[in-house]
Amino acid sequence: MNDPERDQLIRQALVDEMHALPSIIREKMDDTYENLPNRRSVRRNRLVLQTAVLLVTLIICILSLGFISPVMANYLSNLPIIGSAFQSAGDIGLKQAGEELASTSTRQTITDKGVSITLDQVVYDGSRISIGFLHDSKVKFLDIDPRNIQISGSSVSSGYGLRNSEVAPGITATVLTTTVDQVLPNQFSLEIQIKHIQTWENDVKKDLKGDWSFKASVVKVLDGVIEKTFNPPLVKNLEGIKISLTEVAATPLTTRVSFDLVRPNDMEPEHIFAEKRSEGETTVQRELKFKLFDQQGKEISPLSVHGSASGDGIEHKIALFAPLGETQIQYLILRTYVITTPVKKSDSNAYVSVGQPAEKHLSDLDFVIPLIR
Amino acid sequence: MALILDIVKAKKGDKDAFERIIRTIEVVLYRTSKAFLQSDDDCADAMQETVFRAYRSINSLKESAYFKTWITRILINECKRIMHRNRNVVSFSDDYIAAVLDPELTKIELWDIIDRLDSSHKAVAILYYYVDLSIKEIAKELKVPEGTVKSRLHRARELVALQLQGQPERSDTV
Repeated sequence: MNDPERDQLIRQALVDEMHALPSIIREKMDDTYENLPNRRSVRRNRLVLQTAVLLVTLIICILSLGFISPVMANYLSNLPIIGSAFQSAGDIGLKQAGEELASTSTRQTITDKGVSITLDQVVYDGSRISIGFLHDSKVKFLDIDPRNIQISGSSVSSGYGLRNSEVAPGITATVLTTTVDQVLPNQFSLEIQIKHIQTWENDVKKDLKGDWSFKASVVKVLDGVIEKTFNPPLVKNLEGIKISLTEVAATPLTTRVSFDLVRPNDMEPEHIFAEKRSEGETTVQRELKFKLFDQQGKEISPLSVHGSASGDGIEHKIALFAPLGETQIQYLILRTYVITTPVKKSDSNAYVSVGQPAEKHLSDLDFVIPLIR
Repeated sequence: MALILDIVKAKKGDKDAFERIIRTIEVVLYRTSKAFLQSDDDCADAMQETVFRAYRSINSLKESAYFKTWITRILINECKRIMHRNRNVVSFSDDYIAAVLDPELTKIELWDIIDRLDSSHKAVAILYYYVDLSIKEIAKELKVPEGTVKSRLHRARELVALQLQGQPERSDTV
């Protein structure tokens, strides 16, 4: 059999063998379809099209100048921009409601070492602080130390996640989201210091140290927020796993579930690193996963999980999920799963996956959480 | 023909037509993203951003017949962006990185073989066999010489054939 014949058979076999998507992809795509904005017809007359092209070119030129000139940067901070950081690089909650709930008068541009960074938007809903930046696409990484996100000199973050996306040619939005595990005032001044960035140009990485420090007045989102505290906590136990549910909160941006977790050592993914194994030896890595469902059984998209541990072996977990939207939700269901992944010790002190992870639902740990809106 | 008609409608701003097009190629997008990215979370992000970008810029597509190639190019760029981001940033949402496949997917055999190829061979094999890109187009997208694509494809073909020959139930097809 020659190559073209073999290629044709491989092609056909691949097509024949499909086709289901993993559930996480299925849900994300369904969310994507639901969130596609309405687009106007493209039938425009030539004059309108030419004017639009001219206008966009002009705006891009002005924006580009802003990144190399401090004077233009000042203008930049006062100009309306094509697309915001939240719209471009925000998660599903920020895309849906971040725009209108962001604290106003946030936009400011700082230039140092010839690089301008614009603080575009900040929002705080009691569960997380999200901060949107705009910068030159050559700036690939904003190295933000969590200790440098502060209120009145005290750090409010112990970890964060970053997302970025190109807003317009040459301009990138970066959105930083940090989970807040303390009660913050309804109005506060947030300080963010960036001391180090990385730029990439012509495949050359460059580290730049400088000072891009921002101060923003932030107003907590209060409208449409439902918080429910459980004191004493709701508790479930199973085979050494203990979950104590302390709080659930639904905001227009986020659904937050807070709980304390105690689990056996071998349920921690890092556990395998503490055990001695020779190269090539196989084992299984086990970890817990938490999913949230509404009363119709529809899974609510996960955003992040943040954890901190106290000396007594109790982990304080805050799991963030997508907002609940307009639907009348009477209760939520938190389900716990154990994920088992076969792994093999590789040549370094690392493990590689050697099979598909298996998921087991621990139904005895299900929580039905009342949530009347 | 239905696909072409939907592309024409999508260019005129028909959201439903656009959704229909994407639904027909979702699996292609997923498989392609999986050639570049490890976690399904990242694949989902890449696919979502690709769909938004394609939706916003579908009018820049000149030949409707090249829709699949066009959107694959957007997806590859998005995957590269995420790969770059992952080199720099450790997400705090590790709890969700482990992806779980639907039971149906675990039955796949030839895809299992493709998945076991190393990343450079996997990307070439998927773009060639599944997305139907030419060797020249793959070279352009991956920024490698055509000769490199040919040698990787040759190696991938050998590995796939070897694996398939080892499976009695597949021996009649190759």
